[in-house]
This record gives sequence, structure tokens and C-alpha cells, in this order.
Amino acid sequence: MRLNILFGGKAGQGANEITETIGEILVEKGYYIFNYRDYSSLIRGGHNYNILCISNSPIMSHDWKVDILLALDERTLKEHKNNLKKQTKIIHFKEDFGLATNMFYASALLCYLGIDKQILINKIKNKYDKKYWKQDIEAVEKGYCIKDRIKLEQATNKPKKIISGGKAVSLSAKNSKLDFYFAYPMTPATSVLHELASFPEVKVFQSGNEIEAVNSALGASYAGKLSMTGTSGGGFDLMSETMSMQGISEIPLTVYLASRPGPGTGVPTYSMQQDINISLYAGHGEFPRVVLCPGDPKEAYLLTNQALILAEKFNCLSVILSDKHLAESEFTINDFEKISPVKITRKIPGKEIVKASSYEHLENGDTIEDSENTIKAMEKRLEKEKQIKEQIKKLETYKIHGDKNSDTLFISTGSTKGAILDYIYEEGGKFLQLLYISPFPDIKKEIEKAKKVYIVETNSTGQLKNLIKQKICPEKELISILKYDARPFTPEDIKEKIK
Amino acid sequence: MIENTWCPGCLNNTILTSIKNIIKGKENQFAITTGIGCHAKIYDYLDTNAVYCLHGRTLPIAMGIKLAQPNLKVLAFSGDGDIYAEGISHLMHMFRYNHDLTLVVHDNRVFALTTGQPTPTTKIGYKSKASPKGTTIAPINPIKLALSSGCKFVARCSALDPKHLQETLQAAIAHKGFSFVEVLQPCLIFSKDNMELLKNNSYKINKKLSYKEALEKAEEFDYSKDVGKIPIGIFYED
Repeated sequence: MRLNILFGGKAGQGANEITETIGEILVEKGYYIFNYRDYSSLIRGGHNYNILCISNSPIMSHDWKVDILLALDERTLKEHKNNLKKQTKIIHFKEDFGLATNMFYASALLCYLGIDKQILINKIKNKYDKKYWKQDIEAVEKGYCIKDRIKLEQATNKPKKIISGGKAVSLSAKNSKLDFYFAYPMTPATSVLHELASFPEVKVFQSGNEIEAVNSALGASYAGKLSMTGTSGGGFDLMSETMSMQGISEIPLTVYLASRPGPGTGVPTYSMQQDINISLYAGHGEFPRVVLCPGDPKEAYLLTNQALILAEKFNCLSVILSDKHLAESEFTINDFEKISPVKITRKIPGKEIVKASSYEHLENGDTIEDSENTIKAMEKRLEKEKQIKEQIKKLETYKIHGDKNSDTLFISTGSTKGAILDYIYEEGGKFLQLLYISPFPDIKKEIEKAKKVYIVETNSTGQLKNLIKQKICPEKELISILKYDARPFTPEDIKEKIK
Repeated sequence: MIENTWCPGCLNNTILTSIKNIIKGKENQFAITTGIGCHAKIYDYLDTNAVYCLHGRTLPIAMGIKLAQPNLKVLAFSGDGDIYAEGISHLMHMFRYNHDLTLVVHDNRVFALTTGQPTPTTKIGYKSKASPKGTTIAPINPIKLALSSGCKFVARCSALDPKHLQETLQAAIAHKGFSFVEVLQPCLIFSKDNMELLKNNSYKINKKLSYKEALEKAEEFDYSKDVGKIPIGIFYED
């Protein structure tokens, strides 16, 4: 069962808020939900919407064609004609219910789904200040007025957790014992800034710009504290010279990159995977780095911890590559896997004299320019790259999902995971999901075994496909499945592209 | 310690000696950061905790260190090109943040290591390979900039007066909060004529100034024309 509900309205009307509340209610009843957020770069007015997909078995994507359209304003009716099926139930009222509009609609939806309105009233009492109770509860009573009912298939699962990728990154950083997070606000990385700032255990500093953020993180790391910074593509560009400085100074550094469509300001509140290349190549000179690409919040939790551990163990750069679709969509998950706090065992200034340099230098930090020592320093970094490769062999660097014997192979990384998983669940196929793209795992055998190999990514040039070609040199033809309208794939999108 | 590669007689040595005297026996209680340029070679000449940062980035790294290890006394060094051109945004924010650290600007009023281009404190008319007809761009007055940006410790020193320099640096380090010390340090190769000016026109500020008096005093030396008296000492401390 996949039931899709679109909640649309003006920014500020609370469509996102009631999507979250309805999602919680359904998950408490044992369903799985996936919550896709679609909003423009504005604060009030305009048009925002969510699509909440519900199932009684695990899901990680939504569909564009919806079963229920909840239109909090007239514009939603006009904007979403293409999202309708023949049978779509439209819930829309001409009257305005003021500040309680969203609760009115939430109640109408529960009525249609056949769920007791008392659950919503309890939610209101739990979540909101007493002064709103009267008007909200009145709206719930009035809104519970839909005559017909849909019959939802029974769900029997135990209640799970709802979480976004951004929240998972933040929780993992906190539980890894992160000391400092420095960042400048930039969508869609900002949720991590907000989330970490809410934890008293982590010191969060909102920097004057991204260059300051990454340098402060590097300074705090040099001084022996676990430090991280985060941004989106434009900010990552600004940080690139300092990532290069990380390469030579070998001060551990972890950067969270939540990408969005570019170039330039691009389509700032939407999602694409155009920053695979910069995650791998940002920064002048040659130096090792780790790039990790979670595909869902559970992986975001695990890989953020691995990123911090590897940066600390190898004094290297770790980049956690995410995007808006993963950072801001909400997923239903079981518990996270266990992670361990990061231990700092290197030399700390104040205990011993420590020198770190952006110049080529000897082990003790002294500046050098001669050829013999330059070669030694270069080779030390090359050697480190080999050591990192050895180390990550012990970790899960890619996953195989679906039918292991299928000769149709899908390969992707990051947030495309959900749509591909849900696609192969219905249509069959094998799916290789890359968790690391630097160092690049050896996936040649898997590629050569398959008859047809599709590389699925949300960009226009096939950055992942080109990377696989460069790293693996497969004889097999790699077929690109691309999408670059700044919206994520759904299972249906993949089906259409393969036809 | 590695070989000192400043030009023979370079006034960077005066700053180095002052700092050496200050941190002697307490090397592990200090951490320094440097930008890139002639000034930054001080990284190699001091036996203390140090980060040789990228051009312009001495302050944000210094700030990270101070936040992480509040017990360390943190000194950030920079040149005038480094902090007033490449790193100006970091300087402006540091005036606001007021973290407890000291910035020492080796202001020779020229990009020396890249062979003599004008910086934001170079006088109008200065000729170089990059400005063959003489620069027409007005410089900034760093003292006025610091005062008007809310900096709570603003000082100017002359690299020709080592004793006064060391005393002022000590006062800056003792100040709780961000302290800003601009050291006029003419370059023997590219800004030699500043030497006579500094020698003949500088005088010491001998009393505590109010904010208003400090602003007036800051006006006395016009960086664009190299005219007027050059007051040195603490302009303002709050």
C-alpha cells in the first residue's frame, strides 16, 4: 500500500507543521511514512507543499500523483492539477479559519482516514501553549466533517522514529562527542546549525562567513577539540582553500556538505547532486580525503561518526556529502546503530609545543622548500591515502540491495537511495549503493556481472557515472538515468526513464 | 630553529625580539598564528605553539584556538596586505566578537614578499610594477577603523622603538578581550622613505585618552599623504 497525501498552502499557513503532526499520528498507529518538503525561498505567502507517503511496510520515497489533496488555499488547487489522479480526494473549504486553519484541515483529513480526532486534540495539548488550545480544539471539532471515508489497510508494526537526514547528522555529531560546530547559515545545511545549537553539549558558533567558519573549526581542532563545519555548495567553494590547508597542515577536519542545485545561487531550496565533483576535488594541490555519502538518516548517523573518526585517526579531511532531499525529508526508522565517541590522542598545544603549517614542512612543523624534503612530505601524504584505503576495507563502503541474482544493476549514491529501493521492491532488480566515493570502493566485479547497468543521479552531466568510469574502467556500458529539474526521483520517475 | 631569511637589518627582527622577550620561559602558555608574507616567517623563529595559516586567515584560526584552549594566550600576527586586504572581513568581525586575543599587524605599507605592490595602507602616488603611474586609491586609517568598529584596545607602535613596542605589546596581551596593535615597520627595500618619516615625526601618547580624543589623535597622521605627526602608544583602552 502507498497512499500519498499532498498538503499545500501559503508559507506560514502551517502545511509543513500539520504534515509532521499527521505523520507522527500515523507512525504511532504503526504505519511507515515518508515526508517530502517542497518550498520556495520566501518566508510568508507564496506556495509551499509537502507530500506525505504512507505505507504499512517500509518506504523511503513519495509519488507525484497523490490520493488526497489537502488544499489550504485556492492556489494549491490550481498549482497541483498535474498531481491529481482520477480518484484523488480533494479536501478544500471556501471559509477561512484564521490561525487555526491548519488544525481544521488536519482534522478533516483524520476524519477521511477514519482516525479518532481525540488523538489530534492530545497532540495539540502536548505541543502547543495553552493560549492556543481553545481555538485549535474548536477548529478540530468543526473540521471533523468529511462525509465519506477511505479504508486504510491495517498496520501492525511497532511505532518507529521519524527523523530527517539533517537531524541524524546532528545527533551523531553530538553522540560522537563533538566539541565545536562553526557555520554560516545556508540552506539546506542550516538544520544542522539549528539542531546542534539546541544541544548544551556542543559549542556552536555562527561565523561571519564560511571562510571564518572553516578556519575556526581548523583552529579549534588544532587546539585538540573535535570540530566540524557545515555548508552548501557556495559556502563549500569558499571553504576550499582551507580544505587545501587541511591537506598540508594535517589538522583533522570534518565538513558537512548539504548540496542544492547550482550553479550560483541556483534553486536554493530544492535538491540535486551536482556537487559530487567538488566534494572530491575542492582545494588546490594533492592531498587525501574521505567522502562519505549517506542515503538515509540511519546511514547519516553511522557515516557522520565514521567521518569524524577517520578525520581524527588519519589527520585528514572528511566530507559528509548530503543534499536537500536527504537533509530535510522525514523518514521512518528503527533505532540507530551504536556508535562510539571519538577519542583525541594526538599532541595538544599547551601540553607539548605543537606547530602546524600551510607551508611545506618537516614533521616538527619547520618550513622547508628543498627538493628532498618536498618529496618526502608529498610521499607521506600519498602513503596516508593508502592507509585510509586499507582502513575503510574494514568498513561497509557500499551496499547491495534487492535481488542479488538480477542481471539489471542500478548504481547510485546519496539521496536517490529511497526512490530506487522502492522501485526495485515493485519492479525487481539489483541495487548497488555507494556509501564511500573517496577512497573509491572496488565494485568492478559487480558491474561486470550485470547485463544492464544504470547509474542513477540527479544532475545533468552524470558526475557519478564519470567517476565510476575513471576509477573502475569497466568494459560494460554504463547507462545514465539523470534528472535535473531540481526535484528528487520517485519510483515512478525511474520507471518512466527506463521505458 | 631554522635560518632567518628576512633581509639584513629588517625591522621584523625588532618585533621578533620583543615577542621572544615576552614569551621567554612561558613558551607553552602561548599559541601564535600568522598569515602569509614577510611577517609570517616569525612562525619559524619562535619556539612556541604556532599555526602558519593561509593569507588573511590568521584571525579565525586564532579564534578557534582561543575558544578551544582558553588558558593559552593567543597572539595573531599579520601583515597589512594580509589583514587589511585579504582578511579585512575577519578583522571587522573580531572587533565585534571581542575574543580575548591580540592581533599584531606588521604594517610596512606594502606587499613586500610579492615585490612591492600597494596595500590598503600605501600612500597615494606610490609607484610599483603593479601601479607604474602611481596608485590613486586612498588608503584606510587602521586606527580610525578599529576605534569606529568598537575595538576596546587600540594601539600603534613604531618598530624603531623596541622598548616602547615591548611595553605596548605586554599591555595588549594583558588586556581582557581583543587587542589591536598596529606596528609601523617600514620595509628596507620597498617602503624605505617611510623610515625617515617615522624617525622624525613620531611621538608618544603620554596620557589616557577618551574615545573622542582617541579619534582626534587618530586623524593626526594621514596615511594617504604621509604628513602630520605620528602618535604612537595606546590610543584607547576600555
